[in-house]
Amino acid sequence: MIHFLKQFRALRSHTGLTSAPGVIAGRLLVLILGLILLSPVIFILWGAATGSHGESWPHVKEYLLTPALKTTAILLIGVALVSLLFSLPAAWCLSNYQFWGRRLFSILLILPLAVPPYIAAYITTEARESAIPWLVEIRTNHGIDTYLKAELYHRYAWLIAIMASVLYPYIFLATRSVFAHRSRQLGQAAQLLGAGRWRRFRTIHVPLVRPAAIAGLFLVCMEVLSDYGAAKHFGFNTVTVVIFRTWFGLDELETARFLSGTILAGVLVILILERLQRGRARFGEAHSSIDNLQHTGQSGTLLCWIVCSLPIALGFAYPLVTLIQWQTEHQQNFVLSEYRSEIIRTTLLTLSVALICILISLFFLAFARFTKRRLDQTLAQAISSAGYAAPSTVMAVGVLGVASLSRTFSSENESLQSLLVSGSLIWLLFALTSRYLAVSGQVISAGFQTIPTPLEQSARILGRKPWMVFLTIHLPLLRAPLIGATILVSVDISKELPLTLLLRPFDFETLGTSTYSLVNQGHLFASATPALILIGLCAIGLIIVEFLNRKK
Amino acid sequence: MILARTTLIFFLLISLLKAAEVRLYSERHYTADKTILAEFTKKTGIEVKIVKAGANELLARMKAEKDAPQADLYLSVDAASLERASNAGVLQKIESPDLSSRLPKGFGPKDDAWLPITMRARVIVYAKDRVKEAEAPKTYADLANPQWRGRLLIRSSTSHYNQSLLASIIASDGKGKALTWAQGVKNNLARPPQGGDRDQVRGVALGQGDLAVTNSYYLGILENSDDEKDRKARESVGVIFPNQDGRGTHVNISGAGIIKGTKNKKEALALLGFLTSPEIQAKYQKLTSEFGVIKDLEREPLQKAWGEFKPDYQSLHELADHQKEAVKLFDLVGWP
Amino acid sequence: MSHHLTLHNISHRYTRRGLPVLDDLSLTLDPFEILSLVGPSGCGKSTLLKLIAGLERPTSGSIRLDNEYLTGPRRFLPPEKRNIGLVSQAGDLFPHMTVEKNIAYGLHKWRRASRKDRIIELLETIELSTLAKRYPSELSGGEAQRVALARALAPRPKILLLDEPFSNLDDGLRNRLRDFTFDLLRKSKTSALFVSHHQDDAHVVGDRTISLQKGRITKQA
Repeated sequence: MIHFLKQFRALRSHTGLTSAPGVIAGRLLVLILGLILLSPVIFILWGAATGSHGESWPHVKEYLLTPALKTTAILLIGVALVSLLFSLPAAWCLSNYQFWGRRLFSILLILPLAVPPYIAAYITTEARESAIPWLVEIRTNHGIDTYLKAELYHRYAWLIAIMASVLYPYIFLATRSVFAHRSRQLGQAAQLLGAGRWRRFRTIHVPLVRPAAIAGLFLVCMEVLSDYGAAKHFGFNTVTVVIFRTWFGLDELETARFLSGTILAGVLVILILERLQRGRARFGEAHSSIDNLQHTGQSGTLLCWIVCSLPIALGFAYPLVTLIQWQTEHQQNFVLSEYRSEIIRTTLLTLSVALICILISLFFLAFARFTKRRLDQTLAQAISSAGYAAPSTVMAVGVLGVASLSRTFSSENESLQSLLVSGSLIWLLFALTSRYLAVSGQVISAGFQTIPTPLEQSARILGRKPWMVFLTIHLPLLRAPLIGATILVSVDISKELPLTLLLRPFDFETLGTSTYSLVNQGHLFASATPALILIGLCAIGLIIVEFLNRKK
Repeated sequence: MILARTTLIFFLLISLLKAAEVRLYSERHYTADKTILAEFTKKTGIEVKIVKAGANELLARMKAEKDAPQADLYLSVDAASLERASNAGVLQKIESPDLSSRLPKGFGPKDDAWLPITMRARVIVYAKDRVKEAEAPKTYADLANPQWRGRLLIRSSTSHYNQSLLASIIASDGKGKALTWAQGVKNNLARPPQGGDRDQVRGVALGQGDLAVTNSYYLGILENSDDEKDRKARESVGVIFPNQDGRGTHVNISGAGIIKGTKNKKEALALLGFLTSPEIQAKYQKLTSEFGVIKDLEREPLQKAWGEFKPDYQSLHELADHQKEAVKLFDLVGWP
Repeated sequence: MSHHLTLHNISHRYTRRGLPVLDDLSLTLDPFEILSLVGPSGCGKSTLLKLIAGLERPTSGSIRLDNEYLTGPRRFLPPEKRNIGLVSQAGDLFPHMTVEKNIAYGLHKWRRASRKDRIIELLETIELSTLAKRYPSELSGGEAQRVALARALAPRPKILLLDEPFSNLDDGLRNRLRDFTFDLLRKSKTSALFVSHHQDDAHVVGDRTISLQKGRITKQA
């Protein structure tokens, strides 16, 4: 008894700002929420490890799995390399040199994020067709096998290039602040210690930017893994396409689930490895502001322009121009009202999920903030990361599994049953929240870090309870990150395709699903209308977030 | 008391005012459908509510709603989907001698589970400048001929049309021959399958392939298109209706089934009657270039230009049974 | 080794039409001398150090070390060739390298044996031999600044610049570290230019003190 009291008291003083019962209750709540949010992931992993592999697994394993893995690997590596190529030089130029148009470029370089990968894939259709005469010539002169190879490389090249051009901003955003602050600061220190350009690059800049680049690369790879529309349009059987096919073509949910589990396990392993490799070196934040940047001469400015324009041209200008061309040349008029219900649905869907994500993130992070324990921080991060690690299709499979499980458990309660019907919006909201919680978590966590701890300490001393402190001190200061998180979650969700396709309620079309089905039915040019609306809305959101960040 | 009575009368009036309606779950999504359904409402006063989705989604939906159906008619673009729906027990018999009498003998499902509305043939097109009519393939089996290596364009095996085609081959020739056929076709592909039927024809026009497999009505759409590229593509290809000497050209049927437990059966039947009336059947042929299904229907000039052809009605009944097998065969030969 | 640093008519402005950060400033640093530079924030002290280090090029003026022009009308020697050391306010230790590797960074041209000896010597001098394999994130503020000092001194720079290196530390530690640093500098006979906004620092440490205000020298003592 005394021992317990001693522990209790120790716990109380250690946690500083909150009472021990509050901490325990809070942790319990975090765990429960976490379990609910991660239930799809757990379901899949558990099913893959213990359950049956489904009747069709041998068939899938023998005929579909290896080619799918190979295709996916080629795409992942290709897109990773090309997006590094697009993002790093541009981030470097922007952070180290002062040239005319620099501020404009820093906004434009983010805009390709407004273009969903599958739309980027669709717009290349006509451009790729123009290569056909050249391919046919290869066939006549060099034979069919060479032709087939050339055709394959041609398609791979296009898909990799176009996907990299709309995904590179993830790396760009992650690395540009490192280049601008830390990297420059330490580069100067290295200079004074006698290190020349190449040595600085090798020993300072590359190691410093590596963690940020890897974090950005992870996001890029997750997008490639989650993609369904782009790969399918190009005729590539990636792992995600195979999961779809097993699910619908063969009607074998169990095999689809097993496949999903394998993929998920792979991603989680990579995620853990990535965290481990960061090791003991913590890189911390820069403290100084950017010094005046070096001005470039004429040739330098030209080089910077080329480096910065190329990604924007391919990833934003080209899609935009193509879509506008389709809209004006092949459609009668821009009938915005025709897509009114899609616009409303897309907006409501994204905002609802964003709201839920923000509430959950705020709770997790505020709690971690007040207990000041690493454990809570790590828990919060682990929960969001695990959700994000599930590619969209995998998450859908998991959620449906949880849905059917919940129905069998609630078979007595009729009203609960009707609520949990698989077509209802609840499951889509749930799946999207579980998947994109990481986005809001990241933004809000960064926001919390800008609030100095003395602030809440003074508030506490003045007699306010923790959650009042949160409401009156933290929340107002988090206004910008909250808006940013809302917009970023919304943008990510509106670009998302497979999850929405699979889990949406009946007769529920978003701008994304409309674009997809129009192309699927052969109305390529008609898809320009919802696509343009979608890209327009996302671009506006991204620009707002960029300005919010600038104000800081 | 007076209040209660007034409310009651009020509600009665409302229910009378509520127009008759028929609710559709439809896979069809053509502009022509909008026009025709609008005409139906104008003529009969019955409102049409339509929800569009893919076959899988609709089937899953109907299964989930078995006890309380939310729609009256299920419209599909593929006979196999209708058969699957029927096998799942979500459709009821049409039971209309009038409607059945409009169709040619032996046409349509054996158990009266659904009604055909339009028909399309799966045809072979060939580039007129690169393939002489004499050497063009005359049967589906010819497509597997090694002479066509690297010259054939066909869409993905995820397409229901291709799955049904292979299913019909399994039904008539058996699994072994079907496998060999699929392997041969896959070896002849000029490119891994991309895009829809229309893209295959365009691919032939652009020269990437010399042969393509497509649905007959796409040819009509291309011919009537506003886009000159489309019209040129149509001009540059010739059309073959395969297997005329054998079992006939594979056709896919677009049809409708009445959903079990619906409360608007009368209205549903009225719509079915409307869609299979001579005027509307002729209209379908004109607007979408699909073939009408009723007896003694004159073809559109555009369709007449393709020539008379013999459709394969036999294997229609077995399509649903072999669909899953077909998908597995596609995987086996590596036809994505 | 004695070195003589001369700044002649240094003016610097950041934008063409902006106010000059430094206005026609001239000063000398004699051999073995420790010169303190004091002034309120924004008076141009840090800028001056950057110019001497070669991290910026002045709008006009020249900087000479012994008989060589570091910065002149026709000449600009890049920082990595100047052999001038800098200890900054933030320390700027390389977070991805251990304490040892940080200190060794400027010694890449040395032979391995002499490099090792030098590192051991410096670690002993700053009394952190046990922390050789630690990472900067694992050090306290005072320890980090000592490492920064050792790193700057390792390649035996001709001149050492110190840009408010103790401002981030609390009073007791600051005084101790300050005394330690300048003790070390005098022992190694290194000329230094020390910038601070603490008046008492200057008087305790420097042989000479220069006050800077709005880019001009106001007082020399």
